Amino acid sequence: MRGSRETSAFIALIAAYVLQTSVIARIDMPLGGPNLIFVFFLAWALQHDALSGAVIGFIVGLLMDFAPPAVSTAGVWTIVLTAVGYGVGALATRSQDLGRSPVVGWIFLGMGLLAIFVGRFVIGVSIGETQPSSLSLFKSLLGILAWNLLLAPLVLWLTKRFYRSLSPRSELLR
Amino acid sequence: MNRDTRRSRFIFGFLLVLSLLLITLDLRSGSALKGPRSIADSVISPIQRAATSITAPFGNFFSEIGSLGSTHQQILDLRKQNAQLKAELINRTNISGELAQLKGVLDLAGAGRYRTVAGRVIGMGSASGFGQTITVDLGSADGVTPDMTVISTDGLVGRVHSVGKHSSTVILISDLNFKIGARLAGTQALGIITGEGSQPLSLQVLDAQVDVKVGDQLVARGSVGGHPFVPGVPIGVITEVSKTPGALTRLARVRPYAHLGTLDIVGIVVTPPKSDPRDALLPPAPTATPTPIVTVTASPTSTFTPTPTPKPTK
Repeated sequence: MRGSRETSAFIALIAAYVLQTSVIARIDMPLGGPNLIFVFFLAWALQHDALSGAVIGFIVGLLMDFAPPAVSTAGVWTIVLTAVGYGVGALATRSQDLGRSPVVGWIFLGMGLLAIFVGRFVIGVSIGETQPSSLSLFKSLLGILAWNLLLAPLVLWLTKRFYRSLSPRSELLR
Repeated sequence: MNRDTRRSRFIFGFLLVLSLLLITLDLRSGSALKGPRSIADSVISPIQRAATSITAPFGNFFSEIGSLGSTHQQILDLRKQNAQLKAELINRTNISGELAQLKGVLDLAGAGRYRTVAGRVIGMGSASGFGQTITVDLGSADGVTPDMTVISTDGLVGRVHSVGKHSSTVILISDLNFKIGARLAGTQALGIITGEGSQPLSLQVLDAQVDVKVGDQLVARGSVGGHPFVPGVPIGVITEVSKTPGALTRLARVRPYAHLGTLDIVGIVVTPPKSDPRDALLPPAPTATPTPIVTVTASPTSTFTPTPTPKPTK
């Protein structure tokens, strides 16, 4: 059961990646538009614990580092998303008593997006990548938060349904 | 429980070290990770190609709509353009639009005597502001190699970064790591154009004495052997000139001719031209009445203009 769940999640990840790079990114939207890969990754990690979050982050990071049209240094997204996945997974396990309120999940997702942005910036600076002006940095942060938080409720709801349908008694419920 | 967290911390640390190892490997030798990249490429790009061909009709529609959305703050002038866009949207069917783009790419290439292969954009990585790249469905099987010039109907798009068998990744001119030597049409002054992400391109004119005006056009200066840039490709037009008195260089903002947000068909220059086409490929200037007041430079330009017609050296 678990194996089939992970396989379907992996197929869904590839689908999200292709949908993002071939369809969503090609629509010319103000502030860059949403990033389905981030939202999908965070929603996925929120359904797990810290360890699984880190592993998921590592896999998504590898995909973003190596699959076309990636040109940045390999390992950059991997390290950022592994760390964020670990953090988000740990948050999700710790706050079980907060209830499974959709608002809490949404706020965690927002924190995850912020962490991705800051993490990517810090890694980029430390390996000497050219950084954009502070105005365009601010614009892309605004774009990432606004678009993805708008998209988040739908993706969160879908992933939750997906997990319930495949394993009615998730190990998180214990 | 305690053992469990210790184990997960260990694995977490291991994954972080692995990522650091990847970064080090890639930074130290660019070729070490070619294998994994080409595997990922051969798995993902066929799916991207399929997704693009399925969603192309909607994609075109949405990208036109998207550009309408971003223009609504710019008032009267752009409203006219909006109307035009809308009319275009209704008028042109998907296929005829593609055909026109393809023809444009070939025309531009033909005028410059480049040999190009035309391909379709199947992926775009520009979302969320980190790196501006596209995937094109042309690869080494079509004669594409890294560091080739990529053009669209309107002008320069970017350069080929990496090549798979049937797809290649292109860095757009708007990418932060993109730099190209440019020449001001007419005055022949040299400058360096740098990508600025979502902002317009920036131009650094190397000679501070040169007269740089809004509306001046820029073409690629060209690299040795035509790689990565063939000479003469139109790049863009100056929209803003910064006043920097006393500086050694002059700075300006450049709007690229190519519409980077809505690329569909692009051409990759496989064989560079035999001679530099100079300014022959530039679109006609919108208002061709600059009336030069500077008396010293006026006479040389008038004697200069007939010479650019390329004279075969052999």
